[in-house]
Amino acid sequence: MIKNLFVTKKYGNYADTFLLLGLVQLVEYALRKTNQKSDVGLVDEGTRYRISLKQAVNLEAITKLDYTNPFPPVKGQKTDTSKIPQETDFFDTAKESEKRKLYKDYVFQQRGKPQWNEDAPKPPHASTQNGVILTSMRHDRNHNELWQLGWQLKDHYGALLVALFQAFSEEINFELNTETNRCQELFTQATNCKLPEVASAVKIYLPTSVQGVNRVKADTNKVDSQKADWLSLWLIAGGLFSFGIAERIKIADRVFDWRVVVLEPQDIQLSKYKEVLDQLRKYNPPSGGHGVARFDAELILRFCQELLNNHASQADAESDEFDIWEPINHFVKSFLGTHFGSKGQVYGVKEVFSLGLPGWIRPDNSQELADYQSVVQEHLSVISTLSAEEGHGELLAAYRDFITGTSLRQFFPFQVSYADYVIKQLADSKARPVRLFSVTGLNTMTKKDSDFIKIIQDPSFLRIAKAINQATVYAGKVQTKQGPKELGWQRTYGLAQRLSSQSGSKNDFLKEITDFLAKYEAENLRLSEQLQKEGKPLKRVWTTKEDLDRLVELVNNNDTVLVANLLIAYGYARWNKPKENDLETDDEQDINLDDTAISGESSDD
Amino acid sequence: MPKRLNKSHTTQQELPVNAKQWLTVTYQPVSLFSLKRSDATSMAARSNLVPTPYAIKMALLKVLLESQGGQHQSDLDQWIKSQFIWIRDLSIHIWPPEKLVVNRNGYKLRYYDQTADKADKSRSTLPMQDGFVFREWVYMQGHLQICCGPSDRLTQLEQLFSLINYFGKRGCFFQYLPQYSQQTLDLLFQHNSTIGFTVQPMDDLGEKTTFSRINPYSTDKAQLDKDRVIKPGFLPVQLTSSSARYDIYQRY
Repeated sequence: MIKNLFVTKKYGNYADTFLLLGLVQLVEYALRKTNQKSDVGLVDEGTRYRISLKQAVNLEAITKLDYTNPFPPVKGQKTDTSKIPQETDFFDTAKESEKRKLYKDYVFQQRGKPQWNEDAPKPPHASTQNGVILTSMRHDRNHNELWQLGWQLKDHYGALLVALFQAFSEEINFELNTETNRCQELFTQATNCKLPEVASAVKIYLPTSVQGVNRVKADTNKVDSQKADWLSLWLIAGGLFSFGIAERIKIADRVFDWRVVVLEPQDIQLSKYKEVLDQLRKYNPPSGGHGVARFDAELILRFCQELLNNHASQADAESDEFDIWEPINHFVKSFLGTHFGSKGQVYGVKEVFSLGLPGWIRPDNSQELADYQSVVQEHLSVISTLSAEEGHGELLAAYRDFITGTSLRQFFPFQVSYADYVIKQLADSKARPVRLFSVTGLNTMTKKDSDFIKIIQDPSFLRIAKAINQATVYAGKVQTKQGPKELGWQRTYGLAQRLSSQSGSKNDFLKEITDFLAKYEAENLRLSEQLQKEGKPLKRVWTTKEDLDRLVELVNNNDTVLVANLLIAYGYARWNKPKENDLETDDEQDINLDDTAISGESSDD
Repeated sequence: MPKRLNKSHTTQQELPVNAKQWLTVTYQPVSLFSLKRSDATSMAARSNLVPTPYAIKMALLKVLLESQGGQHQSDLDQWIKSQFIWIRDLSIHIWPPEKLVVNRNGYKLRYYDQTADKADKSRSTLPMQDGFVFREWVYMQGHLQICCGPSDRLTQLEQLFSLINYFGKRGCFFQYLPQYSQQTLDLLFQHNSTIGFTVQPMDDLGEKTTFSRINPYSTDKAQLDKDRVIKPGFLPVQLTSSSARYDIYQRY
């Protein structure tokens, strides 16, 4: 009566997750082939993963299954395939890469909105880059060897699957045995054959077991290559090929590293996990051409996009399979990854990392789902204008810290730097138009946090934020639909930095904001006097003494830093409706958009 | 919830000293901590979150040899053999600090170039090559507690613990806090494993290993799973947030 399989975490890096995914892939195949209910759930229980099955498994039928590739052998331009049987279907990385490139170029030509017709190139294989990384890092030989050892067991493949089901369903006392050892024993009992014992531990599969000193006793500095048990590596290889997300990342001129990540399930159906992941890898992959931080940020944003799209289609279908109104990180936990640094001909493990998911995305109904989708789209459109090559490395790193951390408060350190950048770009008539976060988007982001709500819904707070907006963003010379327009008042520089640096102390912050408001008020009076002569009204917000009193109250009742940060965020946001182009994302090659993010006139509250 | 077991307060009488089998000592971390996981190589090393029993026993051996070895120059082998056995047989439990922040770093390092060394044996200098390595450093907030036993040498053990000033990588200093040391009848903390845990492999000395096998200056070979065993360890900490450069764990 097997209803659950358990995979104990033993590596402490992405190998644990790949092993689970390699196993679940076999489980799903065995159930599907034997016409059993193959919908399985993936649950993280802290010290182990659990694969939950819809109904008890009939092992008898599985014993009779024939061999099938859990993953294909890969073939690059220089791969030695002499040992591999002729009739085998290879994964030809050169061909698949070409397909991927064709498709990406096509999407780029269509400005990100491909039209589906018969001439359009087909989308690439979702695992293309997972094959390419193996050949690029020269791991194709080891990978193919793992495949071959598995293929040699083809006469007992059913028995191997049954042994896997049995070994992973027993709740093994890990101090005495491991699941893979147990599987070896069960397999030998059933077939009188042995599974292969060890294989070379390839660094892409076990990133902390790369060649280096690892001695039981620190008595020499001899460097050994690592070995690991074949079964674990074979499962990991299957998981990585089918479910990994690999990408070449441009680090500097003609220097490319590789980054590989896996999405760690928390509580999700395999079918949904697969669907979201394939959508992401085929149609919406994060770009590797603009540095590491942008890749990470895009990865998280695009994944959120795909997950929310999937939720939306479920909401339409009114499926009650399971609840979709949960925070993003209820379904999946994080991305676990490894960064392989290029050392000329070879790659070294440069970093083992994890990227969290924005837990503040918590839709409760279809309307909120749509709101969050537009927030994610807006963030993508802002991020896609930044690139490490153009010197935005720090901005991107700050953004990455926010989007991969789980807390909304991490947004503000980025927003302060971004505000400064925005003003610099606006002041430069030759600079590319800059994109802003919208007030609507900020409202959506902050709506689930009561600390934020009581501040941002305060009319006085909003009036002061708008005053900041009209002294910084909507000031000087702005681009409008009718062309550039001189507004008649000067732009204030460095305000975001000043407010942020004074926010550590209540008094200093209030002094800074009072100082700004006094200047703003004086300017308003001067301008309205001029305009009165011409019989025109002044289109700037007026702040009052009551607003300042109310701000003092807000600062007294809340965290000063939070109030300051929110003022900066709202002050430097976009208060009007976006134009269509604002929400486009720039593609790999730079598209010269002649749009502007700031147009139209704001009106008084 | 894992909780500290209440010590029995029914009797106010002091128990006879030799009835107490367990010693709990407390340290305050005073620098960042790092200890390469034993399954990781020198090139890419995730750190353990807390010192492992193996590391703690090695630290005990180190201070034992440094403080008393000089008095046993004539019978060092005999003496260390007997001392090693009681240290080896200790069961060690670790209670992590309230908060742990793991910082990820990569740095460039020069290390021994085996290939060049083999190719040219006549070199007068050791060939080195440079490359980057990955390391993690753990910031600990709060005290680290170590409970070990059962043993009838608690006084000697406490004295040894008071001499230890670092665990793990050299320079990961810990300040011993004498006022918190306790000798008890039972293990002081027990984990309730029904709640989520973080897994950390815990190396320990094998049941039958000898001093010469783990001594790096002897030619006896040590074997994995015999002289150094890696057991799964579960820490009562929860990963609360994570990003590309750090992980934050909170104790339950």
